Amino acid sequence: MEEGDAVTTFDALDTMVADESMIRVRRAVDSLSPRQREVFTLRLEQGLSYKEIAELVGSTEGAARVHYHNAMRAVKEFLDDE
Amino acid sequence: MNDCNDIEIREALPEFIHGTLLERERERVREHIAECDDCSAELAIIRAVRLTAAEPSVDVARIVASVAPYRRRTSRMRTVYVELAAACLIGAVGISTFVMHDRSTSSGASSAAIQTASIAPGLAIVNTSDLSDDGLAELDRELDKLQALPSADPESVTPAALQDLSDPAAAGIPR
Repeated sequence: MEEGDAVTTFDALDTMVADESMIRVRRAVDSLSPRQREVFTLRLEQGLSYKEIAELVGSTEGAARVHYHNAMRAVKEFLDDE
Repeated sequence: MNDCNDIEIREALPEFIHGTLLERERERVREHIAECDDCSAELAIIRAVRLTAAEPSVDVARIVASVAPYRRRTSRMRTVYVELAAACLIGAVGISTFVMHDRSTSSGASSAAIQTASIAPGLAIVNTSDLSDDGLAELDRELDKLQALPSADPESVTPAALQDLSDPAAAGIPR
């Protein structure tokens, strides 16, 4: 095996593992309740503050914070259980 | 995967990823992540969520699971195909035989009609077996009338006309 082959094999395996991790995370997010998923994605994908999220979803800043942390805990548990 | 007790750092992780923290806060988060496995894992989740949102995901495992298992065609299927082909062949032979028989029948009728027409033009295709004696007598009278008509003789050919035909241009025949 040439040196370049080893690098290529590692890259392919690394990419495959990364892809698998992404799929697992996507599944974990999909398993959230609609409200949790809404708050979670607004916070992480859009980078919105709790105040902005609360205005968007018609809730309070405290409720948005609770939804976010519950969602994060649920995602971690989903990934641990898989 | 556990939750870190430093709630301030955890709250700052999304802003850290989005690059909206001040430099001093950013450095503090970076130092904490280097020593905290829980926050490092949570940061990886946040990064993955952002990436999955940016790219359409293709869940190969789910697609493969939803595809029906491949099944080889059994010999029974091949037998059915052979039977269908044989049925089509028999049907084609039957139809062609019927068409040929139908053509021969209609050509016989046509020849009889031609014969009738040559005997009595104008009264073609008359089935005389259905006529009564009076009808036959009427038909006979009609035939007599037709025979009494002057026949159409061909025009007499003059030498001048033959001379014209020998010259194609004069006769209007294209070369």
